[in-house]
Amino acid sequence: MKQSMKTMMVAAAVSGLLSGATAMHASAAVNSSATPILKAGKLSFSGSTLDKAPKHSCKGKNDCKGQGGCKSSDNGCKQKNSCKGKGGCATDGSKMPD
Amino acid sequence: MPANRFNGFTDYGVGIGLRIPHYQHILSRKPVVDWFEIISENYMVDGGRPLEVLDQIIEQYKIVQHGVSMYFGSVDPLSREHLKRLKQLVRRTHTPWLSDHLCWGSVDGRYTHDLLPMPYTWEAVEVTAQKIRQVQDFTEVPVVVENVSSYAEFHASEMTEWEFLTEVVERADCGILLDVNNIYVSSKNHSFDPFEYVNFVPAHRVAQIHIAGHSKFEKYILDTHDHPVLPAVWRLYARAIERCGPTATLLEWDDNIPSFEEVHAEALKANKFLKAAAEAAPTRNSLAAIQSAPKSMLEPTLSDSALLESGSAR
Amino acid sequence: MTEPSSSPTSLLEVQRRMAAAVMHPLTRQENMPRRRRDGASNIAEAEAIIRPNDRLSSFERLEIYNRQYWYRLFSCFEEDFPGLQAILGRAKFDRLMRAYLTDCPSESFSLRNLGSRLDAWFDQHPEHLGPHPVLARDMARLEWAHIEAFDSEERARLSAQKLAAIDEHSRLHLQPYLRVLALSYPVDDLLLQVRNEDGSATSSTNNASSTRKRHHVRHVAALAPKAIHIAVHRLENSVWYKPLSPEEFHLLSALLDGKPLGDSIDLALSTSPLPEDQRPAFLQEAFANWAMLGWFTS
Ligand SMILES: [Fe+2]
Repeated sequence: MKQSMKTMMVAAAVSGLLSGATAMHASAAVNSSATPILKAGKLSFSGSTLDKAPKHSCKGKNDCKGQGGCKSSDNGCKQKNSCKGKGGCATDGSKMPD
Repeated sequence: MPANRFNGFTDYGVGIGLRIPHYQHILSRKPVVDWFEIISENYMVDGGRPLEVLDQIIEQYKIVQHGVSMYFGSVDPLSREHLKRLKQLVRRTHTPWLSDHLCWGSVDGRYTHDLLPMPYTWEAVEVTAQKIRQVQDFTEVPVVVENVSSYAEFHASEMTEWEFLTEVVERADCGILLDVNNIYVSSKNHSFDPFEYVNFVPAHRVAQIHIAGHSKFEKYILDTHDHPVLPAVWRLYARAIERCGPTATLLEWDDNIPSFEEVHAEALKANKFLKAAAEAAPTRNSLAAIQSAPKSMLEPTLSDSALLESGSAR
Repeated sequence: MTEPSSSPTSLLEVQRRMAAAVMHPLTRQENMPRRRRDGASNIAEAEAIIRPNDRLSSFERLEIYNRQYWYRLFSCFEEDFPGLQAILGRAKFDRLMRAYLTDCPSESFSLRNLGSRLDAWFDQHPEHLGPHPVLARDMARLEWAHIEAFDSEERARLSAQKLAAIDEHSRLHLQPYLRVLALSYPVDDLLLQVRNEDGSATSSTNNASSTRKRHHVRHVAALAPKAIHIAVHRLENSVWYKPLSPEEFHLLSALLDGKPLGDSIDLALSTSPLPEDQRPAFLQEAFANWAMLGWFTS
């Protein structure tokens, strides 16, 4: 690329950078995010509420609950496979108090 | 003890674990809650929504950090990266104390992400106490250790779990997060008397208490944190409060999480016992706490008694 | 007959031997295997380490932890890669999880990083990519980029002073949460569909979930290849997928690689069909948009 052409391109890039940064500061000053959102693309979780938006579902990744023994006890937000009824994982049939 | 050097001389009352499904409710309705406990690891990130929400909660509520992967009992050395991030979070939350579990969970740099039980040996006492001290020195906040639920015991053990816990906290000079649900779960899985455990632990070191629900299977109990607190656990709680005084109490609910109101209401049942303990404090009337609790909370259910006898019901 | 194992004599040995059992893959029926892949007997190992009680054998007690380990990892991995699961189907996805997590157990204190080595692992294990390998790999990349964009650091924006000093030799720093991807399938739309279907099922009965699975299979079968470039980024703490032109993608890639502004522009436009007279306007608009999104940092 010729140097004059290159200089022109860099100048265009820098002027874009400056105008974008100015627009961003202006929208921040009036506490409106409308302009950036128009340019942001597709929201990854549409209709998101605060509860749904973090990560992908309702769990924090790390926790200290027991999770073993039986598939039926392993149930986060999502329905998991049902208990395979193998030794050591059948429930005693008692109902937990409400 | 209500306020002691292990919980930063605070008197926190009854809290619940901060969980994602309740974010919206908490931030929009601003319910009155004594305090929230957070799982530290879920906020040891560099940015984004977890920290944004946490900052909003910190502005309005008291927060205590609870860790799940420091693994005081692992022979592996502590991770610098983990400690560094933990301390950053401590600076953010101003947690008056910091808890994690009396367990191991990693070896040779590989993490199981589970709370694996300790063999109760003198070597393990040394290793664990030393690591607790290191974390305490590095983070510069009181560290308290929590007893875990367990499903296995080791041939190598040289003492009971409650003796082991006591030896560790004495050597580390740290506090205890007494999880009475975990004591109950382990007592059924290992056929010991849970009251012997609660009666043995050094009460003056108890900085916080955990309550939670669990799931019963045919041959063992699993600590699933997905139910209300069972009557047998409330009875243990009453005894713990009677020994320790009105101690900061937290309900853990991690799975099948119901509405905020339901979880909070379940936690607030603890107030009956705390009030009784506060009133009984001058004389420490041994029966006051239990007697003043509503009868329905303490009555054994059919499933409780079935399990008590399940030792022979193979 | 099971040959007896000797009991561990140190804490480290207890931990190594128990971890080897706990982290060993379950059988297809999700039980602890009696024999490990290396031939060692889990029964003998359990008996050497764990006490039995009146209800459970040593083996059965250890098995609780073996299952607990895998169920926790599976549920975390499933939560991170719902799009990949939709593409592979349940059975293949299960085999993939098992194989990947066996080869790449967690080396982090947080489960957040569980999928960090998946893309690299696929280089060695293309057999786990299923009948649509390019599609599956694209989806895995997008889903990992999403995780990174969700909670990576957000740095302070470029100051006016630094902006004024930019020339062709400047190396611009971009937000740590920004990821750019060149993909062969429009997996962004597919992932949005999968997520919306998963998220809209408030009470997920077996019926509802099998209906969703059928939807997924139809979406996947109907998905035609189409080269796309996207930026996965964060705005107001939500993750967004921003379509990019090939020129924008190459430009951002060069900047992310740390190349100076002038060289990055050269690289991005060297193979572009964009007429020369339109290039300044293209650059001006692209940089304006990116600056508006706060992507440039000091
Ligand atoms: Fe607990």
